[in-house]
Amino acid sequence: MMEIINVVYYIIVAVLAVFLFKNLFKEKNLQKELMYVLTILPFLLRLFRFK
Amino acid sequence: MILRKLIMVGIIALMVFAGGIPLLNQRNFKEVAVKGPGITEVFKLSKYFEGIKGTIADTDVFVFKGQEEGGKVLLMAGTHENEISAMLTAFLFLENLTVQKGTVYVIPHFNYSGSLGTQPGGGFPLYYSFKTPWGEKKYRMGDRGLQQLDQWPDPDVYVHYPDKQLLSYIDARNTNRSWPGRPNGFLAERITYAAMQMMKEEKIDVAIDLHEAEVMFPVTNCIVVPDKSRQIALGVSMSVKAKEKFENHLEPSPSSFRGLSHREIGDYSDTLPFLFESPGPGLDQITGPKTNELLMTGKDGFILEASKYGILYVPYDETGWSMEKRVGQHASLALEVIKQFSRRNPDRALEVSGPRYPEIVEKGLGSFFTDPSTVDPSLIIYQ
Repeated sequence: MMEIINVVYYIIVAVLAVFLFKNLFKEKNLQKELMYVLTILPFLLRLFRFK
Repeated sequence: MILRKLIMVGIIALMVFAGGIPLLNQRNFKEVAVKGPGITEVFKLSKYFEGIKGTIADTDVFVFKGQEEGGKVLLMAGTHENEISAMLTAFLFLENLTVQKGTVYVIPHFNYSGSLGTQPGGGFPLYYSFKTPWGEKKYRMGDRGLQQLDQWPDPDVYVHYPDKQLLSYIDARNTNRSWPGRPNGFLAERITYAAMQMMKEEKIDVAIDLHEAEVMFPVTNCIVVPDKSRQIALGVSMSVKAKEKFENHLEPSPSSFRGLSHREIGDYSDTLPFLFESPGPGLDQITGPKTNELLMTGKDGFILEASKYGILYVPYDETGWSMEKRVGQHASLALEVIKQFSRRNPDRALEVSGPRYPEIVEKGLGSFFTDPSTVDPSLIIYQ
């Protein structure tokens, strides 16, 4: 069960990371772009299994 | 605009890889030890429970079997992988312990996953090291529980098995809250279940769980035991105080606090459990930067200031609490437990020798480790 939840979790993280990148590219406000940069970081750290 | 977006992506890549690669390297870093003359066999803990085979929970068990049959002792280090004097005691024994009678099993990284990353937000260095006559020995700095990369998700509340006591969610990854374990539980519970199976199958007489605790925490510099281990622990405490001149008081294992090794091993097996806590000032919250020097010497100005207000549970001065003293205490206590057990149980006696407190403090920890570059590669151990 835990393994299934884990796989689903990684899928959710990947999907959210894609949406965050998409929003980053659509965004025109510099301040919000920087906010997306910071928000994406933990998603990528987990996806790459760094921490 | 496109250039700005590319710069943003570049910033993300820089931050992820500059921050992430050192963490990845630490996770893959192998500690090196030299196989001592006492080691007769090495196997995996999964020998006793297939459910952890091939997972990050599986860990090496080093066997020291004497020429004569006798009792059996299990020494576990790395239950909490940030309590580093425990692991260093195990590594010291890997190279220096010899057994003439009986069998000693040593597990240097009981919670192997925990050794693969530091406590998030704790500010600890990724590695710790100390000097030897031939160079530096370097080890991974770990965390208290299993890495979330290896056991996820945490529950809202951790319900201990089988007592159903409600514990903090974070303790679902704590191998000193998951005893006696179960075969289909969290990975932490499967590790302790494998160890319980080992104790039952091998008929282990004594289990020693090595730890380190904050100097502002009451359960420090002590031996924690249930009633069944108390007489031996009392003898040990008095003996080391008289002969080796260091204090180590007894703490009773609380019967209403579940999941701890000193509680559940005693309740669910015939093995006598002992848990040692050495004082680790580097673990306290009030210290200055968590540097390698602090971890190894235990010297800290803030702790020294706190000592003036009488809020520490150990004596403390400018000399700190060196790694030599902490490892020396663990080593002497373990050897003394074996000696006292053997005296009370001659039919299950062991004869074991290894470095003790006075020798370790006098010569320095580094002098007990062999230069891996000078030995046959078949004698090198990677952890």
